[in-house]
Amino acid sequence: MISDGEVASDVRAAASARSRELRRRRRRQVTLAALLATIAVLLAGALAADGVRAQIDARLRAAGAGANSGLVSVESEQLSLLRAITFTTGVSAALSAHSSRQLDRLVTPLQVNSGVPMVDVVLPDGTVVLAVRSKGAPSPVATRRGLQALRRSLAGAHGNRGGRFTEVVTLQGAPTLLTIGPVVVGHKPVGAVLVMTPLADVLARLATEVGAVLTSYSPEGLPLATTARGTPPPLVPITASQLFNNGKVIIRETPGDTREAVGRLMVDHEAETLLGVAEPDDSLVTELLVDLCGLIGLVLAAALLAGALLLKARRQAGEDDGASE
Amino acid sequence: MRPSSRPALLGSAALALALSLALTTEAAAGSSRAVIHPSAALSRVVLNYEAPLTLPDGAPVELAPLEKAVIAAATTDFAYLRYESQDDLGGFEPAPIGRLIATVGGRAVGKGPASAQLPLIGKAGKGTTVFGLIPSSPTSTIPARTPTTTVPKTVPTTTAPPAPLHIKMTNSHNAAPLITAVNMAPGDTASDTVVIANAGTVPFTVTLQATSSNSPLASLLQLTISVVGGSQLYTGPLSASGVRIARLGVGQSIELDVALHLRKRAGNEFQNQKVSMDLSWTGQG
Repeated sequence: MISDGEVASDVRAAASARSRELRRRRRRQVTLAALLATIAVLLAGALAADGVRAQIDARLRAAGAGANSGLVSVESEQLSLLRAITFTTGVSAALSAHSSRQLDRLVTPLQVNSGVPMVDVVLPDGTVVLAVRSKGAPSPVATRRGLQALRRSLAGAHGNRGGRFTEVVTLQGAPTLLTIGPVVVGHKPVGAVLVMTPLADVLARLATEVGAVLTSYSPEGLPLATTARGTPPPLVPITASQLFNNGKVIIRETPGDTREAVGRLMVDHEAETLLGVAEPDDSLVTELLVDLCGLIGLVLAAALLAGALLLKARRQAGEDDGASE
Repeated sequence: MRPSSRPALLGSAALALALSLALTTEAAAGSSRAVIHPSAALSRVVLNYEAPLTLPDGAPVELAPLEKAVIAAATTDFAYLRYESQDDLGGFEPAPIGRLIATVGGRAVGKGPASAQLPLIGKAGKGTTVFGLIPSSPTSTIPARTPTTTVPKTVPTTTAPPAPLHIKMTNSHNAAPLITAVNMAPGDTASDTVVIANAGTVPFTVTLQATSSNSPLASLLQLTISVVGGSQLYTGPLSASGVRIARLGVGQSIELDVALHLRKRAGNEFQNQKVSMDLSWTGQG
């Protein structure tokens, strides 16, 4: 025979077991919900970072296009000075007479007026008759003999563009944006004018215009000139060669948490070097901020939920006590 | 030599050695430094609209007159520098073009056809005046193509059998070489014109296929096809296929300028080299 006390004990044990099972199930549900919420927060952070990176990449591409457009302005200014010198009355006669003093009188005011830092006036054999430099510009040299551009300019004096063109050349170990044109007497070139700006200074000006760090790389991927504080890492030679020949743009991550878009630097409608356009990559900060805010939100939500459950349990306990009394 | 002068001599020698070592180190560092950074003296732009320009010796600047030929030269240069294609941007993409707007007190003023690429937004008058840029959808910047289906087709009403349709395309050079360029110097361009005509009975679309012989020189040559007095249709390597040229109606023709440009970076190693190229014009109805 089973007593009332034993029955009550069995009922309490069954109720306790059900309650434990309920608690276990609730704990599992809470753990699963917390896990899913954490994953959702991390995914949101990653998505936010992707969005930031996409925005940076779009800005870099636009800045690269802006830098190439800006270079046309620099080229136009150099051509303007070149024309002013080669077509100034008296320059051809002074060059024919190898008169440095007369050239100085005619050319120096034009150079001062232009803001282009370097001008050389040379004979057909490359001998420098006059060199004008702004303060801080690379020093003059005695001859430009062997410069391919000089030969081409003199040969093209009667061509469509009158032998005037612009290209990037290496002078005294530094890449330089050179605009060159012949000085002609009748039909005979008697010399040439070289108007030059160090490429690093051209990049510095363009970097101010587009608001990004600019680096010029050789077609082999070696950095030539940069507005960055340090030296950017070289490009993989195969990648550099493909970029130079195919005209595509790649985005790469460089040390110091920066992203860099690399395409081509165009001069006279032709690729002269590769151009890197870089900006700080703050996507990681965004990702961390989103993660942190999300996790703080989760902790707050969990605390609120726990508080509410505790309150409910206490209220239930109070009601049970009242009923038993 | 006096004994007292020995320490001074040793000191001088040590100083000279240290100095030469320092100079050598600096020279070595200079020679290994491949990357050039901007010069502060040249990069900083200083604008001065008031003080007269002076020469380095302080004398006032006097400019000599220009020859008249400078006008033609300037015109040529500006025409050459003009933007030709997106290739001029080095593969980079320009920022999207947006419509400029300005609002005063919440009312739009000055909204018009003006457009800009700058990501512009600004406020003035404690926020009562706002000016900015509404980004246009990318498709709105692409000029619409002329609809080809608006021309009503004549429906044959007679029972007579239709005339045989045939495509006949003629080109003004036939099989003769279009361009023969000898002794091209780096930077040179050789060009000629060709007329493609529709001498058949149906309209067709002309496409171009270009193939070149396997020569290192081919990589340094750039082919450009453009309509004479019109737009550029193709610019790129000597090998290309499926380049759409034009749609020609019956009896219509198009005059094309075909140009070959030898890139300026071609070195002496390309001297005495040859390359040949075939241009195939295909008409498809």
